[in-house]
Amino acid sequence: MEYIYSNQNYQNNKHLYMYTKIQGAEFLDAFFSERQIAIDSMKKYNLEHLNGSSANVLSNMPIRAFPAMLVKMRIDELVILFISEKMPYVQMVPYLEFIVSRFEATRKIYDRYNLNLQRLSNSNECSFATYSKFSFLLSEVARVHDQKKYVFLNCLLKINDFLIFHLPFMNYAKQGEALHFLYKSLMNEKKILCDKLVENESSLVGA
Amino acid sequence: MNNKLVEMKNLGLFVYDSPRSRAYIGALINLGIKPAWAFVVNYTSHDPSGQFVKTALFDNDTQIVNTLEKYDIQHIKVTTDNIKNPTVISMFELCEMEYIVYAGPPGAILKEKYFRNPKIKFIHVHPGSLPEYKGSTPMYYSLLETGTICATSLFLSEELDSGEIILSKEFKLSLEEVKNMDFITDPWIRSIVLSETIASMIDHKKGLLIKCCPEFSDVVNNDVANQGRGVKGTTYYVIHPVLKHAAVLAFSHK
Repeated sequence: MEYIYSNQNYQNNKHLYMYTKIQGAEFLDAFFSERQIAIDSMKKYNLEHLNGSSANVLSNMPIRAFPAMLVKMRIDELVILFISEKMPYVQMVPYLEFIVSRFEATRKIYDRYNLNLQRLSNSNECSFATYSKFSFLLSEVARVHDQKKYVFLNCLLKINDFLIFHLPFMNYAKQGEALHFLYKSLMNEKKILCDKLVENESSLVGA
Repeated sequence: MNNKLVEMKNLGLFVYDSPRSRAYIGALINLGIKPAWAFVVNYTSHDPSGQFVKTALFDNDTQIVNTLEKYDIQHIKVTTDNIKNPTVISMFELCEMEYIVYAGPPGAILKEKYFRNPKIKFIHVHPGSLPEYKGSTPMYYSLLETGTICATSLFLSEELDSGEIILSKEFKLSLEEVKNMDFITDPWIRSIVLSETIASMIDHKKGLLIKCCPEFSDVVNNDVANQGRGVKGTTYYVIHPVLKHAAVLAFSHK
């Protein structure tokens, strides 16, 4: 069985996840196998062992003072605030909920929004790198936030499908930082799902 | 059969040809009533939600328009499934019905313009417990989190899944029923809740629906309906197939 959801561009097929068939354990096997191939292809981009932490992996991008930056929210700044531990995840949750709702509704995330959580007129769709960092942020919060766990995990799975779809078109040499965060996100995603399946005494643990 | 059905003069339908709409009409017919009017969008639809999957639980084989004709139910049909279309909206601005059962296209949400006519109350059955499980495919999230399945009838309001709750009912399902959720079980459990909701509102003497008829008040489970008042709840989105499988697995291991 083939896992088809990262072979198609979600942005071009808004019905991709509607009325999906139940195909049993084979489907989950196909999913985990496909994800493992993506993880293996990015293993060498896990830069933590070189840099000490994911915060050190980030390029040296200046960020505006908090909370002023949130008046015109920039997704990349939000991610950096979390990764550099300048903003705890609890404070991050309302912003994540908003961004998730935007992605679920429009299948896109833009780089800037205003305080009314509307896309700014001069904003652009996030880059692959920003999507990857956002995916990592979402995976970190989904791991610890029980109440919104499935809302965040659901969006995480879709964003990661979308990013894996784009991997063949990426220049790996120029996307080291992005691949690091996508790799970390996929590892988190796998951990969350395996924990859930263990909880249900599934035989698929370790798949 | 046709002559035995009592026409509810103030009841209308807003439907899209789907298993849910077919189950709803079957539920009304089983109650011995029929709506006075129906509005059918995208009546020639062949999209996935319109699948004609055979089941013994309700007539899922007959197209909605054929059923409406069979029971002599006055109806208007349009090819568009865009419920934001001004022509579609205008139907409801002039509509004389007081209660309209809503079973529109998948993912289509009634926006503010539908609530301009103060005479109309849209009745919707949501496949989850409210206010906790708002949004799309809540039954799978409910299975993941609590292992239960619930359906709730409500009067729609402008805010998503936040209108006045009428009735809520929990269902005990088999694994097979969970596996057949999308095209059979979901429409079937919603039709049961719709049936109980409408039954609680029928005034047989007048041939009208009235809001929460006192003689049937025991049917309306106010304890359930009042649960969670003041709870904001969570809005869910179309479930990813991996989580859908995890939900079914979780259920199968119970």
